[in-house]
Amino acid sequence: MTVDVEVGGRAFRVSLTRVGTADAPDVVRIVLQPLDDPDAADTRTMHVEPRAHGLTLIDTSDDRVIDAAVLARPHGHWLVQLPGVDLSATIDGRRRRESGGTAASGEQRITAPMPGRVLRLLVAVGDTVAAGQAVVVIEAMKMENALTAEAAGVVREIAVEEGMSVEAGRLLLRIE
Amino acid sequence: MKVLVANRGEIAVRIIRACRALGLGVVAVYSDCDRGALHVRLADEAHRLGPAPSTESYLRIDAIIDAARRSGASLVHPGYGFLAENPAFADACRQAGLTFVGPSADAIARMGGKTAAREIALGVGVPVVPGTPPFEADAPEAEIVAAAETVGYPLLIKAVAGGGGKGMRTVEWPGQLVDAARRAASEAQSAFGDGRCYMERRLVEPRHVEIQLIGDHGGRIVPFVERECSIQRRHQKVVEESPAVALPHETRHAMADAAVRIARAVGYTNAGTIEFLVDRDGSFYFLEMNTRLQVEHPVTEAVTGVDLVQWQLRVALGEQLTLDPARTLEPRGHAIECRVYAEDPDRGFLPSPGLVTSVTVPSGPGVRDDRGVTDGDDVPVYYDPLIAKLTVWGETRGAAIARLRQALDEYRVTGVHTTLPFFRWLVRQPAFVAGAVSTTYLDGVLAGRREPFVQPTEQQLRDAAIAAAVAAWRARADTRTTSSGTSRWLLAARKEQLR
Repeated sequence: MTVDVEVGGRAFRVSLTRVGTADAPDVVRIVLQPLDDPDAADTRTMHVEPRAHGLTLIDTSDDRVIDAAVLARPHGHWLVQLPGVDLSATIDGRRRRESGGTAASGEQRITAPMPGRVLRLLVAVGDTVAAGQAVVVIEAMKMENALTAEAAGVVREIAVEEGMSVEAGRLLLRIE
Repeated sequence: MKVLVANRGEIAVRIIRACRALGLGVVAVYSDCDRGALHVRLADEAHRLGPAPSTESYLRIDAIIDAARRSGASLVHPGYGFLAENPAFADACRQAGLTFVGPSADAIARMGGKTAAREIALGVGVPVVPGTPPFEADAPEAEIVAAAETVGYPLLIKAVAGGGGKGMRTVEWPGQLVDAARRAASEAQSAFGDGRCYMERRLVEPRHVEIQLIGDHGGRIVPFVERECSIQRRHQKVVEESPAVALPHETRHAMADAAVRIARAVGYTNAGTIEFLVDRDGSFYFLEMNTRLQVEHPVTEAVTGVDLVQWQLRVALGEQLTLDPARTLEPRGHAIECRVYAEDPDRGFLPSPGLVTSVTVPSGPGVRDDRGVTDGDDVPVYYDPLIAKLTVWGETRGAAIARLRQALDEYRVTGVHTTLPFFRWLVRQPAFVAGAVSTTYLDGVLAGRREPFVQPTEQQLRDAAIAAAVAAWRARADTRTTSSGTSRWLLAARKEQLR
């Protein structure tokens, strides 16, 4: 299987081939190719030890251990937690950011980062907002959290009303 | 004899430990989303309070009293938050013939009203920060503006019933006042059921230093060595330590003396904390009293060797305090606590509720972890996202920081985001290491930050890409193989779907 993985702003093509034997069935050959430098491909053979919500990989050549907690999230997103660092990965090009991201068109979709209640809308359709300006206040876990615009723009759509309960990922407003 | 623990999460677990140490039975209470929570699993029996929202469960006095009656509990420990500082709850316990593990309803009422508490402090000669009387949530704009003028800017708006930074706002200039007052009032209303707020002058770069004390029913009040809680984010303490950094010996004793005078003025019993702000010139002002166990009590326990929660229970049962104030005011070594929240520090500390898939807890000499969740537990969206408190002890502050760094590096929580990466960054900041911080330090440095608290290395990015690819590959293989009943991945996936 070959997939494209984007993580931390880097893109890799990863090819996996099962090379296990009866004695050691979970051995996989992994070819990791940075998409910005295809000649720098790295080939590794690793033991794969699956655990609940994660896996431990042991490199057969240098015995290095990768201990990763991996959680599937909606829309091709994965949360990969290595010791000391949490990373978001997307697999196979479904790279459209779920929230806050500034798409190529200059559109920002402000979405609910967690389930909660829309406490206050701080802007109206047609308002001009500055980068970093608070646009909506969500109440969750007993705290008020102000969500901000990532970049300057004009509010094109408000998709919720004050007092409304929202699920994580729900579109709140759109800024162009 | 049984104790009903009227709380959840790490503090319920902490109280259960103290009950066990004294040979007392444990009755837990839970909301619907907490039926399988750690505090329930550690109890002898558990009683349902109601649906998940706290107003329908952990804040329901009638349901808790009813659970106590049904279980035959004779004591009720409120923990912190929820009903801990609600005099009506303490009173309802008393009327139901239950022993409330805390001060009297009268003492809670007198010290819980922040403006009344200030009057009490002034009455026993303890200075307070200049402030206003309380105003109603719907007070006219003109009244709010006029009150602010008497205090001057910058000022703080605080909830009369407040605590934990809820219902609190900083106002730098007049233009921010009315909006901040309304927001503080609405937050106070939803958090405490009381929207009244007041205003207080904001000192320039003060330190937050507090005195823990405990009183028995024979009029003895024992103060403890101070705690410093100057590292705060949005008025919420995130790191606490004991003793304070570079606090003169005389100031410690003067503060302890002031704290005891205030407590004595209201006939205070059980554990409580008097909070002070220390100005740059070393003078201190009474801030407020917390009439309950504090989140940060472990640092005091670490430097004095006293089990505060056991003493809460023993005092409630009528025992006399046998603690020697000369010893409780003299710290042994230095302790630091970090509050670990299920929040994503790289996204403005947004709450990160969800399934905790695994917890790897640090250990070793001088390392203590108080935790409300373990592998497979849920962090519900309904409550405070504090999931654990890491407390380290060392012979010196430097030794404690070294241990803290190692413990933070060892600590791992997966499934949700936590503030651990933020703490790993914080404990390496020169200002923290030097102890050169005030209550405005953290908000100041965070305001200008955009970069992540941990920068992944090239190796980590490659490892993550491999791990994600292998996980995706196995997930696809498992969905194709219907007969593979033994696959742990498939079982895990099925379990996920059942959630």
